[in-house]
Amino acid sequence: MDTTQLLKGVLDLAVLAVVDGEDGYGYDIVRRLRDGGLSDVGDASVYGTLRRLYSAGSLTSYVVPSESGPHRKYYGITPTGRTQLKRQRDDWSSFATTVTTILEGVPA
Amino acid sequence: MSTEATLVLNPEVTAFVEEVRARLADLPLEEQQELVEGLEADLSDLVAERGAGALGDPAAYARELRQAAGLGDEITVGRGSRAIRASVTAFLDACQQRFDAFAARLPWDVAPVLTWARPLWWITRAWVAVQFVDLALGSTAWSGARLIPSLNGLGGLVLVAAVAISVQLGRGKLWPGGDRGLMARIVLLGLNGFAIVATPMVVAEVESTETEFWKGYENGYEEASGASEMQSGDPALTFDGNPVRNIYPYDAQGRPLTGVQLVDSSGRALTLTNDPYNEGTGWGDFVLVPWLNGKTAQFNVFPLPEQRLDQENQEAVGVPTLQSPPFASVSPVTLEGVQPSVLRPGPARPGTAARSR
Repeated sequence: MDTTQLLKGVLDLAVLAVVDGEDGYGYDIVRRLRDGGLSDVGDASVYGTLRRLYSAGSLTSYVVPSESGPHRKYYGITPTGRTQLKRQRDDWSSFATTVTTILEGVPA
Repeated sequence: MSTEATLVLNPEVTAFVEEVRARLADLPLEEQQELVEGLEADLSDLVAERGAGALGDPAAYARELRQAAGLGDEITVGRGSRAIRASVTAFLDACQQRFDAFAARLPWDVAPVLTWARPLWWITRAWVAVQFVDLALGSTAWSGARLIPSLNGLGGLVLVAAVAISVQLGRGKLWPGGDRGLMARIVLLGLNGFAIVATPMVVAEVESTETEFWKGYENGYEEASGASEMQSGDPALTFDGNPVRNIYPYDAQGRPLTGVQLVDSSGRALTLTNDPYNEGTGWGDFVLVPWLNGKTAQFNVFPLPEQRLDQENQEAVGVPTLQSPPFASVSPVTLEGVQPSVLRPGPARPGTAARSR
């Protein structure tokens, strides 16, 4: 099933949840999302989302230099981000419950 | 922290990142940097894991990146213009940096001023914009530019809407405000620049109309209360707001008098004006001719003779003539305890005006 459309709605939430668990750099976060089961997630979408969340103040970032090769840009969650994560988590829960209920034909 | 493999710089990754960066050239410098900063490392990881083929199309990548980051599509007018866009963006960024540096160097704190200055500008530019439209449409031709633009009656509503739009622009909630793309920045700069240039012109128009309006109101008020501004320089009698054309005295018995000199309680001569329209055209088709004290002209001796005015060369022609009084005689009057003056005829002096019958 093409989950692209479904994914767009919750990418913010998924990224926040992953970063909340542990700070990470771009590709690391992509990997964690893929390992978690979102095999269709696009790299560029994740990076763009990270950038947007950073602009919104939900994420903080820092660069870790390395002797050989390019620097890595790490992202961490902020208190604002935690608030947003909690809120979106709750929204998602109730939304998922509602949809599931409708699909099972049980009156809400 | 998860363990990372040491990265080896892959030329394909470098090329890919350059291609992506080129498609971000229309964005502000800091935005570009933020987006591209970790890209090399991350893409190197990707290639290490999935091979160089997994990189894909840089154009598609850049599009997806911009969309996820909420940055809007790249403005493409053609491949060649990318360099132009990049340099224009760099120029705008440089100007902004110079301004920030300047503001930082100022001895006082600019921030509180900006807190109220910016919203004030938002309101001002909306007002200027509406006024400009008002002037341009010519709906001010009749009444002039007023403080609240008229726009055929819709002015107030349009002004409120314009202020709302301007504020949302300023807050970044409405395009082109808030969009950091080059097109948006240029459009916003253009709008603001136009508003700045139009402001002094609009203010001048409104000011001149408003002062005229209030002056007219003042004048009308004065006229209505009977104290109208006389347009000629010399003091002259007016009655009911209009200049007096002539005075015809009668004695207590009701007989017309000729040669009555009038002064007020302060000794001021009650003169009539010889040029009520203040245009050098006398009273239109005639001029008043003064009585003479030796060589001195006196316009306070009544009645004053009239002399015809030639309409073509505006010169007085003919003989000054006393006009017939409006009444041959008027009702006799008395005042208890007062003996009225009685006129005794005297010899006619040479050079007196002829009397018309």
